[in-house]
Amino acid sequence: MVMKCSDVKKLLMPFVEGALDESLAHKVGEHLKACSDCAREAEALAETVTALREADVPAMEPAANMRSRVMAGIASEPVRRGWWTGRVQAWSAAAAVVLFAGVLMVSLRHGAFEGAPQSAMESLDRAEPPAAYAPAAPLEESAPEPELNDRIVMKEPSKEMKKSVSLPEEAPVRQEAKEKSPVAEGEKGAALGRKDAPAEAAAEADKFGFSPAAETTAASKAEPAPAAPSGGGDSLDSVAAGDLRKAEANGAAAVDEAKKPDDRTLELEKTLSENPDHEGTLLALVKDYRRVGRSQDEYAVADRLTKLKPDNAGYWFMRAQAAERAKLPNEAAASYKKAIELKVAEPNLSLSRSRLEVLEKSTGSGEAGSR
Amino acid sequence: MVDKLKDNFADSDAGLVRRAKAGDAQAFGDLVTLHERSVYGIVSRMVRDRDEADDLVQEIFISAFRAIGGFRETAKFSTWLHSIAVNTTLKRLKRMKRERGVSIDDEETGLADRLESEDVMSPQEAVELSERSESVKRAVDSLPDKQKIVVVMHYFEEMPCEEIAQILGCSVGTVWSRLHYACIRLKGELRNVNSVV
Repeated sequence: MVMKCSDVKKLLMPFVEGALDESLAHKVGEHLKACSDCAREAEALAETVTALREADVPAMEPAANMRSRVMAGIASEPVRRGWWTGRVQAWSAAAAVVLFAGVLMVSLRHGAFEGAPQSAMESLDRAEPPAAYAPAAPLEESAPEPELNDRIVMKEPSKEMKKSVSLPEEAPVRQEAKEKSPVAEGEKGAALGRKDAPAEAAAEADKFGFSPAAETTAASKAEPAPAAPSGGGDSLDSVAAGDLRKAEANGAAAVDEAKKPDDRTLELEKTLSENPDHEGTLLALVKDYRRVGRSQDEYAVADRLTKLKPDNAGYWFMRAQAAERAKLPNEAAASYKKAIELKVAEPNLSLSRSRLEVLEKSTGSGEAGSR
Repeated sequence: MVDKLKDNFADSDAGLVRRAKAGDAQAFGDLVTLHERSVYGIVSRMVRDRDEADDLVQEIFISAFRAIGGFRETAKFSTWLHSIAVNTTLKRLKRMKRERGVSIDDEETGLADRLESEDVMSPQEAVELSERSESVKRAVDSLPDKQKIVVVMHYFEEMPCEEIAQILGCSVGTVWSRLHYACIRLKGELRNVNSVV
């Protein structure tokens, strides 16, 4: 089936990100071979996505006193009761009214209370359900933007999303923080994992005016949200350091940034122990090890990726960068060579060439690397 | 401190949420500690002023505390929290723009330029990457808020599109569509500032 340009253009973003299922991706790929207009647009999108992925746009460090600020803010909130407490009390009241009304009716039947007031029945009628929490204002929606054709099946991008955005492969790697203290070489054992975001029903979303999500396809239990990756090292930047001083000056409790454990890494390692060849987890772990400065581990995981996908130029580039950080120049040179041979996308291709040149000069050999 | 929390609860979020719903403010404080980084990840890339970001994050968590009684534990707490973060941030931005009449000038970014000199990059390469990052940052700042926030969540916070769809309460197709239009716009902006794209 030949796809029309209008349908293909709607699929270009997930296509570029490797989020389409194989058969649909193949159809789009075939169209791009024949249609230079769509191919140009796909290429442009891929370049933009690469630029976004490589850009270093770090988030601010949390204010050192944020917890105490929030606690101070909620200190004045009314004492929260369990949701069931209010309901039980309300229904208990309603039950009491019903009972009273029943007794009254029996009494009326037997003429005990002539001219009995209607107030009991009226009270029953007026019994109100438990007060509901006021929903937050719904997210305002502007004029809807054109949507993808949802009838076209897409596979779960969370499981298959690749780093590569060029057509067809490459996984450009961002230059990240410099190496911290080295760790013994070799792969680590079992580790925590980070599950890819499951398709869970946002059952409470209607609280904020959202329409209910589609039925849960793979509901999983709630898990701690991993910490967002920072763009660089772990030390406080000057802004956060200023906040810390302010917090101390105010006598507020300050969070000890240096002692915060790495929940995200533990989660990823656990997932990997359950599924050692899960590409998405391996990619996330490479980045995470890089973030926390565990260069040897970063290299070990990058190495595993190249064994998993030996034809992926981006993974070889990733392995090369990790090898440099882990002070393994021969492995780095070999990996750069492989990345060049497999034509890794720019700017990584130029970077590979220049780094290889530097490495070969420093090792005094053009035959550096073995693999 | 976070380690201690995890030691106490096998499933830290679920346990803390249950306690917070029952009125345990300290449990909610622990949730703040666990999730503040991810909330800053969204907020601080949308609102460049340090004080504004801190105020907004505080407001988000206080709103979450007020609403936690209605949180149904069938979904992830983080997704629910992020939906509050997005909602509150977009409203704040709208109000700020209305009050100021113009787009927010982000000269005072409050963001540290994290690019550190690396052994693996030459100084020239480091400078080039820094310049490209600045170009991308400026280009992303020029996006309409609803496109910008999906870019922030997907490319900088690395959230998959299904999670973003749950946070925003829209379809996955809509998320891809916003990303598509954002990238088209970014391409033009990046060309204008003479970056690598």
